[in-house]
Amino acid sequence: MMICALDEALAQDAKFKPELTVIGTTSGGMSFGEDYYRSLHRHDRLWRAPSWIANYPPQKAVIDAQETFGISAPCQVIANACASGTNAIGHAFECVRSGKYQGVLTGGYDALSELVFVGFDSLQAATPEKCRPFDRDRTGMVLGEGAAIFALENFESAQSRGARILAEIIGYGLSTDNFHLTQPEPSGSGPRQAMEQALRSAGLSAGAIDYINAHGTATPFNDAAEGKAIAQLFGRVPVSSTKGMMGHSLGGAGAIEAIFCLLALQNQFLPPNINFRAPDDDVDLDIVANESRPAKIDIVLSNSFGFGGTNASIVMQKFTA
Amino acid sequence: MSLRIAGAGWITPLGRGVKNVWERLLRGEEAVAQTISEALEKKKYPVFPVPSDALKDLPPHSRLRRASAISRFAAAAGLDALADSGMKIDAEISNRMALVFAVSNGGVIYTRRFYHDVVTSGAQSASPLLFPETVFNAPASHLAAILGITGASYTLVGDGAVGILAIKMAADLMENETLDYCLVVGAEEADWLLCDAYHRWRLLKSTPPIEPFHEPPRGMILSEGAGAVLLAREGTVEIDKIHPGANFSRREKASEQMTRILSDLAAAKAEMIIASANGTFVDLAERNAVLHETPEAVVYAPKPALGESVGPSAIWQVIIAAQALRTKRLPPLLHANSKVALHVSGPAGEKISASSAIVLSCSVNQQMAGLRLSI
Repeated sequence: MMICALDEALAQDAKFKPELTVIGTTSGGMSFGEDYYRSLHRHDRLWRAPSWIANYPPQKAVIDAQETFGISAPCQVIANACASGTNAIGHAFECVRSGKYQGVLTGGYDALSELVFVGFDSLQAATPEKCRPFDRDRTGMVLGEGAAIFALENFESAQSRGARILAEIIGYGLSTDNFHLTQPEPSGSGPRQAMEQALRSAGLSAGAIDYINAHGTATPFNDAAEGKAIAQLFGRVPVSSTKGMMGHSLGGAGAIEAIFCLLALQNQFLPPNINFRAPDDDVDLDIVANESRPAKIDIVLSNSFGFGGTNASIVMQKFTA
Repeated sequence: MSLRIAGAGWITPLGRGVKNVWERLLRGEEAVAQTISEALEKKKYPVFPVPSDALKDLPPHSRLRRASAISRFAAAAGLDALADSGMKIDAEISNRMALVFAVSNGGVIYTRRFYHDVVTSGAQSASPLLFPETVFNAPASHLAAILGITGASYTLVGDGAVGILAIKMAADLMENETLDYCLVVGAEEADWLLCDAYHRWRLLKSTPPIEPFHEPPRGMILSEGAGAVLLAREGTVEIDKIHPGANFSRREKASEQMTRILSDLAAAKAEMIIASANGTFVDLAERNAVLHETPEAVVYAPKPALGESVGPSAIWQVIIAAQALRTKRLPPLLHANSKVALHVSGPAGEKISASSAIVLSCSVNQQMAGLRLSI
């Protein structure tokens, strides 16, 4: 998946030369670890163990993908649970904005694995039916998998070499919510802090945001806390979670959802929040229910939150030549 | 921007506390190996564990009630680093502090237990208490909660070089003037499964000691623990250059990449190298790089004494480099090949007058990095 995503990114800009790679993931090569453990348990096929073990570390997929395309940038692999992808893009953005780096390759990936699937099921966070973000009768998430990669470059540098600029990242905020290892603080203070910081980083007020791509996992706890934070901070800005369509790809989610934002900015539409039937009684949100909407949007915000109380938000802006 | 070490915390197989561990290293002591076994397989492996009494003074905290050893090691090292700096953490300080956590294998004990239940008894036996502790950032989350850090907290995953990559990330974060401090913590816990994995990868030695710079390499022994450095803009030891790191896809390329890193760090003169030699192929890469770039530098490698802890190993090396610069002494390099052409720290250790030290980290899964300290 990393190779496919990187291939697509580089096909649009083969001249991009990153000085650093920052990628988010939660479980890296977990399925290789599972193969190894099951093999130990069965005393079978252990001759394959060295290959499984070598492919288990999260940095391996990143280094292999880079090598496929002749890239040798040092790799920082962020594992901040489900916020990893947005944290990676946000940190890459800060690295470029500081002037220390001209170009950073960034994004996130995660692949389905039995351990993670069973883990979310054990927490009763996974639903046996449809994923219904922000719906009053939501029953949980559906896991997904995937990868998304961005070539992030200093504006002047990209412009001077004639690169096709797809959008701008203009703000990043993050916070750590120390309430519980797996549950958000119910009032949504952690997400709110991350979104406020992202706005400050972008030099914007809440009213400047035209659309929010929410973390929206469809778990009762996340959507309640995130919904409250969005309603308090932004009022009735259009909101959707695209996880109903794509599933929750954990460390890849933030990067995949940043691409939703990029496409929304390029094509001037609001992505839909599918499987939505009725709103929560106590949270007043403008959910982009079930169908996409055409809209004039210039600035969007994307949220990702994760276990360990990690919260991350980025602000993206439409690029006008 | 000036980046300095304001405090350090150390949990190792030679005990807890920078002063204590440092004195033991100077005396040429080495960790005592224990054998660990597992019902799955008959194979037994030696490891260097953290002594059981090392955490007896760790203050109780609700987050640590069910936490695995890795989180306890991290909490102890983080709290010790803050205490070493003389800082009393309050809301104002924690708001201006970031946490960067370096890890390689993470909470492997609970991960193995969790998945073992799934494999042997089915998905319905999966524990909702264990699963959250299997996530890579669980130890960082516990430490952030204990310290009251509500801002930036990052968990970086990598191999033995990840500690230096974490310090590099901390340096990038501290470009932001809203931060005054960055606590960089590395931690790992030893487990039979890790030993078996490294054994099958032909990197593990069946009995101690670790013998650095031998040809052919004889293998490493795993260890566990944590290391923490509190980075600030003031302090006696400065991190004056960090190489952002490099990857090597084939072992034969490791020497070439390490030589480039050392060349970049030793632009003026390198007086002292704290190496990552662990008895595997990485030793050759380091030896070749040092012989090519800085043949006069005195070389010390701590892994024969402390074992290969992977996640915290590079932070342990940074603590050693800082201690050597402060105390003007270097511990003896244990069990080194007597024919190695390097100027290694001798049997009685070395009195040094160095004002700078280079830390190199070349690890077994494709990453390497380095940094330079000065006093």
